[in-house]
Amino acid sequence: MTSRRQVLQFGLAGAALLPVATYARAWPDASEDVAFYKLIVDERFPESLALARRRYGPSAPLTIIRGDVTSLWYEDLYFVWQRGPAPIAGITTSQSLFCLEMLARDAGMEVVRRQDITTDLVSWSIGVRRRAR
Amino acid sequence: MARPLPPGVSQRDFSEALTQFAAAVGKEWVFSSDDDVDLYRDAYSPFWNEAEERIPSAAVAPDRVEQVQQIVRIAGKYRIPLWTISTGKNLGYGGSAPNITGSVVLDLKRMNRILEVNEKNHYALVEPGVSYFDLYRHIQEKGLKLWIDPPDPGWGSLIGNALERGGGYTPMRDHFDAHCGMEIVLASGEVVRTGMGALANARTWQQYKYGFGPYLDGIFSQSNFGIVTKMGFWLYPQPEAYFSGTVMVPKHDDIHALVDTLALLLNAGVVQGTTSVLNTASFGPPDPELARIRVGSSTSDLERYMAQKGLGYWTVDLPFYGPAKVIAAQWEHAKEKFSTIPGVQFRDGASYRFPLSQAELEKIPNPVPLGIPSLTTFAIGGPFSQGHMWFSPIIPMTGDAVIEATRVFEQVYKDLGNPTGALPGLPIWSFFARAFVIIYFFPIEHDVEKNRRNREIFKRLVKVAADHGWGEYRTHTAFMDDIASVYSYNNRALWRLHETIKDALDPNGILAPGKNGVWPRRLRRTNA
Repeated sequence: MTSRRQVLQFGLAGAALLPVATYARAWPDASEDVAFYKLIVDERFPESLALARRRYGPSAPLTIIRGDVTSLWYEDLYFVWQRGPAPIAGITTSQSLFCLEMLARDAGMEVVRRQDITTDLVSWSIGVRRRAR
Repeated sequence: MARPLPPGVSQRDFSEALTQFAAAVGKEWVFSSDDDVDLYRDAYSPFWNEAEERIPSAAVAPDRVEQVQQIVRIAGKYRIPLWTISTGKNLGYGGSAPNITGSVVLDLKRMNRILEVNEKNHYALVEPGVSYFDLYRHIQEKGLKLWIDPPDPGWGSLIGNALERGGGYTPMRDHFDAHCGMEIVLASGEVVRTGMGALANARTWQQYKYGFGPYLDGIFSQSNFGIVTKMGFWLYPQPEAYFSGTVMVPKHDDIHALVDTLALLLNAGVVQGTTSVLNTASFGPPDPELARIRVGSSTSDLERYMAQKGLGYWTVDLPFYGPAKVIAAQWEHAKEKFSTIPGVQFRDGASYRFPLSQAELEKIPNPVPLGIPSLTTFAIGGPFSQGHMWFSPIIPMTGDAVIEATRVFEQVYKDLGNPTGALPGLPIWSFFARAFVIIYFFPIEHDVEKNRRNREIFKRLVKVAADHGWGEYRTHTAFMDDIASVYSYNNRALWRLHETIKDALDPNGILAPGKNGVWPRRLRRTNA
């Protein structure tokens, strides 16, 4: 059953993953068996880009931030998440992840994977809340 | 896991209340499972994973005033404490978690309508769930020439932030002062409108604050006397230009003339935005040589070093908003006033004309002082932590107070062994008229011992501040009783007055018991 919390922000009758084809670009992650709407890296940390290339492949379309997720959310995720949960992944600072986690929560999503890489960087993915009732 | 019950409420009554809440708002908007209610945990709790962490029993999310009325009547019947949140982003002050474990969170995020935005008279009327981002987007989409005044960060609620008396950066920086008119649901379920809203066919509710008779708006700020369901805000007409100028003075003792002149310019309205006075010698850009000199060197050594670097010992940034010719004249006037300080230097800073193009906007490192909401504050690097809380005493706007407060609080840190992570010596802000606020950062970590230590330090700072006549303007739920207790003039006369009002307006004690140290009668003896 869909968690009631998943529909809190937008009052939808139910939430569902958008089909991969709905995204303009979506990148699959075989290890997580999901396609991500965005793969986010922080260009202030070269290892963020390097690790993302290693994990998602050299031609994966990466969304570049410099720590600040405002534009990414305000101009993009805000609209996409209004239509429904769209998983994202990234290798960023924990502060960037925190912001996206809080914003994703309002869209019925949660951090489903988190791994500290260095003292600065964490590898993560955000998807539909798995503990749905 | 069994969720905690509201204090003094049986499981049977609680279950019945939840059933009645569901009848009022729809069962999909009542949350009682761990999965759902855990979302209301304070992400920055200084009690993380300790027994003292305040945990809700459930949450309920109405979408209109009539539902709020029903909820408070149900809560009153069963004496269930309600903790009201707007967008639930009050991070550093308790987040979305209640003050007492077992409270039901009243989540007003679904009440997110922008009811009116008036471009001619420059105001908006909104519901609690409207964030700064929401109103900004609305204004941009409509092409209105209006500014909001967001705090850092912009995902909070206008109503929530104003009721907590938060601040921003533009001329509308005092958020509670910028409000005009409110609608409140009382604990009885009755709806009241303040100011001109009390007129049946009010035409100036968001234009004239005071209405007629006693002006009560203030008692609903930082309080538990009612639930605000609508609030008007004065907005700033989009200015023609913005300019920032920096003033640098060379000597430690120049702080007195610097602050006196700053106070004059602020109080005369020449400078209208938030300023910050910075001791550049203590908190300037990273410099290993400066860090070495700071330890054990004299003030003269520091002054010499800063002069060699072309930096002031103290600096203040002055923001100007308005017509380009006017702000140019204001900056010239400000420089003339500061020029009485020997060796003063000035530096022209950022300058913008509005509206900004998208290309210009993308180049601005921090757009918040330009009325543009942002999350950029989270992109600022710093010590690794899982959150923060703020110790924020108000001090007089004088050089003497700056020197004394800095010395006193740094001594507290030294006496406590300069604990790791706690940062003394930060900029001193003029978010509010006529006074400074110093904002000390306390990291929160998922480490019980570190959090306990930081709580001890915080409480010590509260006491020391009070001993010197400085009180906090706002605080985390963890310290509300501590801070309320130091406002003790005339045997706590003000808090006794708060309690009299509380008992009259909320005899069942259901609205946010204990918020800012105001306890309802039935919980007062055990908690206050």
